[in-house]
Amino acid sequence: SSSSSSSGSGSSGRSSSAPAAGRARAAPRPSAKMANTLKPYLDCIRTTLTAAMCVRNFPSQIVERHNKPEVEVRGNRELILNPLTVSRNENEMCLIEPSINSVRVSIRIKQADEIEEILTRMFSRFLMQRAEQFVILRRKPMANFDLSFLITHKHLEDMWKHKLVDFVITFMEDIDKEINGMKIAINTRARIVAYEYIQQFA
Amino acid sequence: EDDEEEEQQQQQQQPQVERMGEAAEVQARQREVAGLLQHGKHREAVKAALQNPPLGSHDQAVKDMNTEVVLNAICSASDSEIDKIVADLYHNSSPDLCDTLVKYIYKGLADRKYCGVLLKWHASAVNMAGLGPVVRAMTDRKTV
Repeated sequence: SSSSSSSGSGSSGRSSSAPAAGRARAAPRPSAKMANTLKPYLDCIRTTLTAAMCVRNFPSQIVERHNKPEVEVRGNRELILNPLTVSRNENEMCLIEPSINSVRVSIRIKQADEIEEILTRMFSRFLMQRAEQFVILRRKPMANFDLSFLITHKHLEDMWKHKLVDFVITFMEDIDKEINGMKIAINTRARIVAYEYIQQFA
Repeated sequence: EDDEEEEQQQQQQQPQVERMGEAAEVQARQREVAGLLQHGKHREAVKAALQNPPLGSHDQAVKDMNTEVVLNAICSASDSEIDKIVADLYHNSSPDLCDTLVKYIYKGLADRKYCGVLLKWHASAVNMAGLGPVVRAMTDRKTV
């Protein structure tokens, strides 16, 4: 996906010099109603995350000297809290599963059509392959979700909680914008290619 | 031993009686809330809907019915009234009602119903009551 985005930006430079190629058709703008729910949605996620990220070190009760994120192990019911979902509409939601020493945040990104589905899949695969650099990203998303974070007490010892929450919120905003941008780039490039191809028959 | 068996049988029968009692209670609440909504009394309707939720009940149908009642009451209030109703709940009524409100907000969001309205209610509730109800929604074993 990185190669497609770089060549997409290269071709959009050429499109400005070809007026007949037409104005790049922008991705359908979110209606006022949709844009209005974005801020409350992110605010709700921010408060829920701030409340959920109260974790502490809790070594495994089952195996000596082991320290496992309880939200992944799910061995003991008393260590896991109730999962909370925050949803913006039928297609976009965020599942937050807290536990005593870890929090799992799974997000489903808005995918309006097939192109966006493909882009989301490729983009999230790109990110998840580099989960080690990402630190808090989980290598596999949860079922029915596109991306999952796993935040453990160790991360909260190294990083500020409010900054982590800020990061997750900014990430959710940026990923929407990136996928929109990639879709515009694809459409622009496809139009230019089609135009150039049809030229020879004109 | 016979006494113990009798006690066990009584305990098995009790949940059934409790369940019937809960269902009847929820239906009564449904009628009360519907009546208040017809008169346009949103504040009282929300307050009445949030009383005595069937926490930790074993009967899913009863819980679902109560969720319907509460979400109906919540979503029929207009946007300008949300802040006033939440302030009233927080200052004048018991703090349990705010906790129950937030629990039902999350339940509604999990079912992906009325998302826009519920997100507004959530913002208002957290503004008024802080993160306490959110934490209690996470930690309370007896879910709504």
